[in-house]
Amino acid sequence: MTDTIQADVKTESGNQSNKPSGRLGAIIASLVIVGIVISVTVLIVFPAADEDSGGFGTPTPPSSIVVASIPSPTSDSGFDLTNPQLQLIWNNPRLFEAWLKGNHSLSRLSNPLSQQEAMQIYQNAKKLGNMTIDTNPTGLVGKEVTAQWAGVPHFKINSVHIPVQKGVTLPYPP
Amino acid sequence: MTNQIQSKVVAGYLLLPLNKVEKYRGIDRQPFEPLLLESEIDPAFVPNPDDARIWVWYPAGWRREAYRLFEENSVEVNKNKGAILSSLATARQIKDLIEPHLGSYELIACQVWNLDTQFAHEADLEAPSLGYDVAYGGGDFYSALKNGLLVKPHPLLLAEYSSLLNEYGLFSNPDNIPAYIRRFKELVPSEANSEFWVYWLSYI
Repeated sequence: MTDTIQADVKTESGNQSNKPSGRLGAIIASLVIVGIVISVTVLIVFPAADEDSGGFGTPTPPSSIVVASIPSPTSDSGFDLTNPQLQLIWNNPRLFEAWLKGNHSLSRLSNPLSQQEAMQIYQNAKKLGNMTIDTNPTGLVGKEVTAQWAGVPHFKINSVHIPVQKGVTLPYPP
Repeated sequence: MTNQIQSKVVAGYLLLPLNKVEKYRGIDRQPFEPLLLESEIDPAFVPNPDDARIWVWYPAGWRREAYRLFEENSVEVNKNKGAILSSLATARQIKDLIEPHLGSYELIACQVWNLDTQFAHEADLEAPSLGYDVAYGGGDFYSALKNGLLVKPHPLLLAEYSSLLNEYGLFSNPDNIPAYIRRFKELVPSEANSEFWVYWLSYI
């Protein structure tokens, strides 16, 4: 038998989206953001003098910016499975687990996986075939009350806890 | 079936960060091990599809070297290359490489066996033991002691078992571990299907 688990949770943004004061707030927020962008642009083009050195401030060189080679999804578009590196990682159980543990376990606690991301990871673990999948209902809906993962919706691949957003559903038993 | 791993105790060395959780010196402290970190791997690197090594993904530097040493000297636990090193000299070498970048780590000797085995392990009783932990055999090394008795503990587990914890947040004797894990799985439903391993940990 295959069931799915659905958490009964409304998002904060969903509760606010139809209020007039919310629209006014959004307009004000947009104006503030535009102002910040213009200010930053001016600072980059016309850098302020550096008081310590007596010269001009220098924008951080692009080479010092850490760029993730595998782009993380910004919405629920899921992972870009056309990325050649990601394809190689996802086709190898050892690399897949090392990638999950390094990028999508504790480091995603404040940005848990979306429905699409969670399902992609679940399906890849199934496809690889020799991985342990645990979609225990108590863990997935965040109803556990004991231990460090208490209250955090999660599932597990090869004994790696993976946090998910409230409301994410995955097949149980896997 | 776990017959394959029932025939031996795995022994080796762990590198564990200091001061992750107060009054806990067990394995559930994110032991150092090779990971694929998206922010640090070489964006242009395309490996041979059959190559499962992790260190080859990194540009030259301390992490690539530490991961290479680790992967060439790690011990298999639970059919996976995990966080345990076979060589004390290599463990010391890796510790020296990573500490300037990741902070202080401690070197711990360990022996590991599956909880379901009836194994009399070969602990050196003369060694300065930290005690026994019981945790996953890999993955994120989730410890049933840390998670049942120390971090958001269950009140019934606390009442029944906290007196068995030693000063390091571990059991000093392994005899109570099977009963503890049965109780832990009853009271922590999200871990009901998890497989646990026993870790005997000792100072170097």
